[in-house]
Amino acid sequence: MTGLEQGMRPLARLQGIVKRYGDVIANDHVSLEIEAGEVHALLGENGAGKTTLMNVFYGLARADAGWLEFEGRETAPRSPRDAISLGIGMVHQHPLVVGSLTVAENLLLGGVGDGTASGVRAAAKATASAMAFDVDPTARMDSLPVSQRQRVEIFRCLARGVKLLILDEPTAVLTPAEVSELFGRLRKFADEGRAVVLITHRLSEVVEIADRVTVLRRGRKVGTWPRGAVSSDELATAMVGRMPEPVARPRVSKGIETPRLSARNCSGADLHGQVGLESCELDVSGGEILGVAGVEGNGQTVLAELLFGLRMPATGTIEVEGRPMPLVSSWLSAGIRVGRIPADRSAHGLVPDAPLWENLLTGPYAPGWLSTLRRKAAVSRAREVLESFDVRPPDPYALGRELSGGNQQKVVLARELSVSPRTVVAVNPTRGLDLGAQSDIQRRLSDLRSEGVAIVLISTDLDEIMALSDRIGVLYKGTVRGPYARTKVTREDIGRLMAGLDVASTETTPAVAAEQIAS
Amino acid sequence: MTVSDARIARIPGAAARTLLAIAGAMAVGAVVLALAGLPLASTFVSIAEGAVGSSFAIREWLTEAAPITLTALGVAVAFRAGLFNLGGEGQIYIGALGGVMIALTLTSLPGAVLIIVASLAGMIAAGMWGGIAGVLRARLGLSEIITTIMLNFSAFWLVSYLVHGPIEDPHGTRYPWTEEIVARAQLGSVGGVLPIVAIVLAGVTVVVWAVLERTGVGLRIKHCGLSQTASRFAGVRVGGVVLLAMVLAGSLAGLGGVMSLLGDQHRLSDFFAPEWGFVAVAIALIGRGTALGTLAAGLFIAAVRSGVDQAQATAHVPSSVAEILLGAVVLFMIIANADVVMRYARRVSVSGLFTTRRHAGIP
Repeated sequence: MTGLEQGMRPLARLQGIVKRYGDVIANDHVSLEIEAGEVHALLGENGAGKTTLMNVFYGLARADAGWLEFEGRETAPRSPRDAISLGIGMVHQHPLVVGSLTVAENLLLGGVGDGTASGVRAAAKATASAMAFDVDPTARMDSLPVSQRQRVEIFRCLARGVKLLILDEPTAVLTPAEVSELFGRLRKFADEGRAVVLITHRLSEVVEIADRVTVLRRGRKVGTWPRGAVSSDELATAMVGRMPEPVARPRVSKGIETPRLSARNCSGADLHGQVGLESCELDVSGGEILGVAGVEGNGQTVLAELLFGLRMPATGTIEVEGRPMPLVSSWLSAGIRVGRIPADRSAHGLVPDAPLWENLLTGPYAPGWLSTLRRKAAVSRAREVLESFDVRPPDPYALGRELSGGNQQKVVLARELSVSPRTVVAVNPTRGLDLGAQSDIQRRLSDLRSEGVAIVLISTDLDEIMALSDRIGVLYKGTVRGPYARTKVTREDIGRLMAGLDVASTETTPAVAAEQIAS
Repeated sequence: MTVSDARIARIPGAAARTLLAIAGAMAVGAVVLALAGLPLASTFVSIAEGAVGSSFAIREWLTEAAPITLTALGVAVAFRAGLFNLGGEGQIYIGALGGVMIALTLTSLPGAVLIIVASLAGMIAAGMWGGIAGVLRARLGLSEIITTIMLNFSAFWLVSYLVHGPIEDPHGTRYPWTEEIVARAQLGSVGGVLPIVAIVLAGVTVVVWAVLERTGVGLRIKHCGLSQTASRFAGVRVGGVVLLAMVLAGSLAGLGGVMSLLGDQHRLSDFFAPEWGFVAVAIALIGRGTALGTLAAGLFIAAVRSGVDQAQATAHVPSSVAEILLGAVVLFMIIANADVVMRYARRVSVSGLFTTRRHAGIP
């Protein structure tokens, strides 16, 4: 940590940054110093103001108060172009690339190579460097997995000579192996005298890579600590203000019973060009949670569409309590009671522009086409339901999109659980929610299991899978591997399966400290 | 203040905006009148008198209001489902055609029965006509904006061809129209003031309101309009809702055509409904896509139209100036409701014109 030596000026400094959006204060007098040579983690829940703070650095947002300094000079980037020419680069959560162009074309577009020289020379240069970065420069961007697209974006920053690289939640789309590869690159980058800011809400990443960590909570800075100076527990407390309550320990499945929901040899193509489903087998019984882990894009979409009754499998069958499952439009008449919690709560789970009381009346169990709507009764019932699920605000007339993600998810749960389902299928139910809402939703799932409901939990969040599941299957390239009893597998085993490897036979990897917090 | 209070608080805002819009339209109108060298005050007075100044004027106004507002209700139903029905004019012609075929052939039926059967025939014919665009949208993903406009031409020229030959008045008037329908099939007025077609309009408005706001169908239509993705996820057959909305839209416009036939024209001709389909779109937008709002907007726009028409004769307002006045009123009213207009118009962006099958069908 060269930069931490006495007398050296920090590479970058934010002083008293204030950023308001309307009445909301996203950043409240935040100050931060980034030293050359360090990986600095910016830790906080969703909505803590991490991305906003870094957008100020990258010229995407203008601070209402405060100033920033880079390499000893006060500065105020007005645009990403400004920021990059200063030497500040940022890679956002969702790769910002042109899908229909090749890697090399995207690099050219991103200003890599000498813009004034002939395009051929620039392309050749970009191509060569891209090869060193392990990406095929002639591949179309949209044919690459997300991890490679991200790599191109990082490379684009590096090739333009940035000295400070900001990454916003870069690991969300990566397998454990890809994460450690990324971290290796970041470490090397920092060791060369530059600096990395890693925006994250995952404690394990902080422990793994950060030299120092700054915690933000509700727009304010809680503190900055060198690694090792604080325990993970203390960091978690700093992040949320209180310790999240641990979810009840999983119990071992009872096993023998007719499965509530099963997929037999199911196949189906993905309609968006991603991996489809290939001879998928799974089943879940009452009183257990079947976790389906896997990296995004390995068939989760198709599996969810089949289990949600949105389409029929191309081959094989989906069965509910021993009977073939029809499309969702006839679930009511077929007497099927399955709760459905979709991955995209704001687009699938809710009609965003409809009021909550109407949103509680959608889905397979909604009033029929010809039934009259007793509006007053529906609204007052909605008020009760919203209150009992602690939705804020519990206003039946609020529109779906006016709610935060956590509250939207509670509305979806309220509706789906109001029919007392015997089976629940949930896809990434806590993704993007803050820790409070996360543990609340996870506790509800765990309670449902205790009440004897069968639950399929399709999640890309390995921590969530490990914490909740009784059995774990892993989706890899459209096939479910396993499932394995939770007690028989380690986190590393699942990580290997997610990457397409086999479970390590006897060797046991030493558990990282972060894991204890995670589970 | 809770959210519902806030919602109530918005209503005076809308009223104020509407009044401002009327004032704006009058200001523009004043400039145009001044440029045309017409006296301001007396011209506005004669427009008002022409609209509601006598029992004759009121009857004319309401008779004109009924067909256009019925068509606008159809446009509003389509709006609710997220569809832009620009085919009102064609649907009016097909509805009137269906009605006149019954009225001219089943002449032995008693008056009330004849009127009901003719109305139903017009609604069914125009409903199927609207359904063509619905099927094309639901099955093939073809934009209803394009297909309904194209169907306007088909409908108009079909009627034009028929009244120039096959169903031309056999009594040799040599006009391109059918013979007059029997007197007992004609709809008059109550007390010389309130046309029966206006009573029909009121009744239909209540039915449309009830269906949209108080039934499961209405909820599904609305939700499909707000989010096809969420509706599809909920298990709603979006294609079915799209088709239903277009059939309803067509049959409402068709009823408008029949009302114009039975209550006003008494025979079918071509050119009897010029641009009505587009006026209906403006009315539905001003009415914010709701049944009651559309009724109010329809009555208002029809009053202006009718008043300006009369003023052409009484105050010698040139027809071009009259049309500019009308245009200003519609434009300002649309500005006053810009929020809703934009919400609907956003769905009709370029991507809306070129929807693919994937967007239209099952995910």
